[in-house]
Amino acid sequence: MSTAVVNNKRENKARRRFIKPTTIFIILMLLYPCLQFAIMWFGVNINSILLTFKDRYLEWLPIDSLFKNYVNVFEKMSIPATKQMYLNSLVYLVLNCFITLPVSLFFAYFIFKKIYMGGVFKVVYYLPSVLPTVILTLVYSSMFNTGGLLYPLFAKFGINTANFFVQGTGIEKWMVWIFCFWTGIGYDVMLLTAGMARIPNDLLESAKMDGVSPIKEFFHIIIPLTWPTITTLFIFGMMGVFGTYLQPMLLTGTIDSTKTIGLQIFNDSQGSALNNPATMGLVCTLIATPIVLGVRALLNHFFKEVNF
Amino acid sequence: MKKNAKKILPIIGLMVLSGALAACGEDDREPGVLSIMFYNGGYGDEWVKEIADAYAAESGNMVDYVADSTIASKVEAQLTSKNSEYDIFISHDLNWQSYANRGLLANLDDVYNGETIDGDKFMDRVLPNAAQLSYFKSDKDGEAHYYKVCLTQGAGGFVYNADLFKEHGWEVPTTYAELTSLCAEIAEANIIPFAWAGGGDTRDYYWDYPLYEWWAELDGLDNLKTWSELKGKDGTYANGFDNFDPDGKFKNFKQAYKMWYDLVGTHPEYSNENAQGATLDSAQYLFYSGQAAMIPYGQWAKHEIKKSQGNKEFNFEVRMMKTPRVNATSDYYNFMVGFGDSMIVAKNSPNIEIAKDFLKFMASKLACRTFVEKAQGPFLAFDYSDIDMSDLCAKDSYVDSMYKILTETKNFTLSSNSPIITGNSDIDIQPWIGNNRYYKSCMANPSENTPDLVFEKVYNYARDNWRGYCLNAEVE
Repeated sequence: MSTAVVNNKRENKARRRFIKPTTIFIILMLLYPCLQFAIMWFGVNINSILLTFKDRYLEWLPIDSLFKNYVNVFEKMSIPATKQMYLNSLVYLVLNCFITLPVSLFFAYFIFKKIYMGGVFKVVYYLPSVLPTVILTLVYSSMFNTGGLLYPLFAKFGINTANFFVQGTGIEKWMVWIFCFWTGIGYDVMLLTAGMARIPNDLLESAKMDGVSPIKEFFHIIIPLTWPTITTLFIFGMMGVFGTYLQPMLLTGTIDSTKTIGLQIFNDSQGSALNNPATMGLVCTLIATPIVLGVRALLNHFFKEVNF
Repeated sequence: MKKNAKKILPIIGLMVLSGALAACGEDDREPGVLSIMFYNGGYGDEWVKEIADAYAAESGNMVDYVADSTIASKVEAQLTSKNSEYDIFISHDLNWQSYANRGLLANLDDVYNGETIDGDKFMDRVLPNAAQLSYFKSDKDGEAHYYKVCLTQGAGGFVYNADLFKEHGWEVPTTYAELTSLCAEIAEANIIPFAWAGGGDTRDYYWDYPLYEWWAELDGLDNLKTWSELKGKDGTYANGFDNFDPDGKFKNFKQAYKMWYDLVGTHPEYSNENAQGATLDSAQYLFYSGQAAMIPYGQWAKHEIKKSQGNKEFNFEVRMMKTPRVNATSDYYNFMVGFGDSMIVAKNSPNIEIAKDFLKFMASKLACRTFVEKAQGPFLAFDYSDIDMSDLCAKDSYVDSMYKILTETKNFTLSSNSPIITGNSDIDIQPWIGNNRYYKSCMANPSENTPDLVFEKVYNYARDNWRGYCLNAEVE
C-alpha cells in the first residue's frame, strides 16, 4: 500500500471524525433563518389562527360553535358600517393598480429617458418614499389648514380647505386618496426606473435605428421588459386593500367614511378581544390569497419572461 | 487568513444563534423590586417619582418605574407572559374587565379590606363610585372581586384665563345663559372665547365634558346610570340602540348638543379660526398667549399646556370653572374625566403583595397630596375631605379651582361594566356611537348638522349597526 493511499485514508477518517468549521458555520447560518421562520412566522401566525377559535376572553369556543367568529365576520358584512369599510378598502385596489401604477409607469419612463430636469423630478417623486408617513401626513394636512400654503390660494375661490379632512364633507376620503396617490407614485417610480435601467442599451439603440417611436418603444419594449416589476407592483397594489391603515388614521382619524379593513383590524387589536381582528385578518387572507395568486398567474401570461 | 476564517466563522455563527435563542427566553424578575409601568400623558411623571420614593422610604421596598405612552397596547403581552416585567400598570383604556375575566389580574380584595399607612380603612378612603366600578364579577370563576383601583377622579369643562376675566370685569358664568352673554362680550373685546382643536391629533372630544354635565343635569344621575347599562326598553342588550332614540332616552343629550350648537356651532366667531382643522398645539398656544379666554379641557390642562410651551410657567392665573348650569336653581355637575383610569396588578407578578401594599400607600394622605402637587391639579380617586389642601390651594389657583369643583359639585361618571362597553371600545359607543362626533362637522357645515339632523343620524347609525356591537360583546 502506497503512502499516498494511507494518507488519503487518514484524511477521510479525520473528515468523518470532525465536521469542518465551515460546515458548522453553514449549518448555523441555515438554522438561524429556519428558527426565525419557525418562531417569528409560524409561531406568531399559528397563534393568530388559534385565536379565531376563541371567545373574547380568549377561552376556547365550545365545539358546537367553534366557527362562531367566522360566522360573525360574515354576519357583520351586512352591517352598513362594515360594508362601507370593505368598500373603502376596495378603492385602494383601483387607486393603487389602475391609477397610481400606470401614472408611475409614465413618470418612470420619462425619468429613464433622461428628460430635462429628470434628476429634480426623481427627487420630487422619491422624497415621499423616504420620509415617514407620520411626517408626510402632517405636512400634507398642514398645507390645507389655516396658515398653510394652499389655504389662501383656495380661499380666493371661496373654498375653505380647513374643512377638507372633516367627516361629512365628502372631501375627506378624496384627501386620503390623493395623499396615497402622491406618496405611492414615488415608491412605484423608484422600482420601475430600477427595472428599466436593466434593459440593455443595445436593444434600445437598435430599435431607435429601426425608427421605433418613443410611444412604440414604451409599449412594445419597455413595458414587456419591465413586466415582472409591473406584476410585482400590481400585486403590492392589491395588498393595499388590506394593508392601508396609517394614512386614513393619521389624516382623518378613525371615521367611517375613510375606515379600511387594515384600520379596523389595527383598532380592534389595541383592545383585548383579539379573536375579532384575528378572524377578520384570516378571512381576508383566505379570500385574498387565491385572488392574488390568480391575478399573478394571469399577469404572467401577458408577456413571456425574458432574461437579459 | 483562511485558517483564521475557519476558526472565526463558527464562533460568529454560535454567537448569532445564541443571541437568537436568548431572545426567545424570558427574563426572570428580581423579586422584591416593585416595577410599575404607567401612561406618560397629561399628568407627567414627577408624581410617580415622588410617591415611589416616599413609598420606598416608608416600606424599604425598591420601586422601579417606566413611563410609556403606548402602555395600552403592551399590557396584554405582559399579562399573558410567564412573568410580567411589571407588577402594576397605571393607565386609561385598560381592558381590565376582560383581563379579570381571563384570570390575568390579581384579586385586590385584600387591598380594599386593608388599611393605609395612616391607619384608615382603605375602603373608607376610596370614593363610593370608584369602589363600585372596580368590583367585577368574573365570568371565569363567577365570583365578584375588586380587580382595580381607580387612579383619578378628575374634572372636565372650561379652563379659563382668570386674569383676563378680572381685567375685563367678566364674571365667571354660573348658568348657560350667562355663558352665552359672556361669549358675546369676549368676542366684542376681540378675544377668542374658546380655543379648541379639531385637526391633527384631534381633541374635539373635550367638548364632550360640558355636554355630559348638561346632560347629567337635565337627565338626572339615576337615568344616566341606567342609560350607561345600554339595555333596550325590553331589558335586552339586543335592543340597546333604544338608548339613542332622540325622542326617548337620548332626548336630554340632544338638548345638551343643541346648547352647544346654539353657542358654538352657529357662532364661528366664538372659536379660533377654523377650529375644526386646528392642531392641539395651536389651540394651546392661543390660550397660553392670552388670545383665547377659555379652552375646553380635562383636569390635566395646566400641566399639558405648560409642557407644550416648553414648560414655561403661565403668566396668568389659570382656573377651571364649574360648568355653568342649564338652570340657575340646579346643582353643579362634574364629569369625572379620567375616572376610568386604572391601577391593576398582574397576576403573574412575583411581587403581588408588594404591589398591593403600594396601592394601599397610594390611598395615604401623603400620596394624595403629592399627586395633586406634582401633577398640578388632578386629584386621585380617594377621599380628600379630611386632607388639608389649604396650602396647595393657596399656592396654586388651578389646584384650588379643581378642589372646589370636586368638593362642591355632583360628581358623576359614565364608566360602566355593561358588556356592550367592555366588548367594544367605550369611545365607540358612548355617547357618540361609532365614535362619530359632530363638533367638527358642524363647524364645517352648521346647516347640515342641526340637532335634529345629527340625532336622526345618530339613532339610525345605532339601530343599523347595533348588531355588530352585540356580536363583539357576545350578547343577544
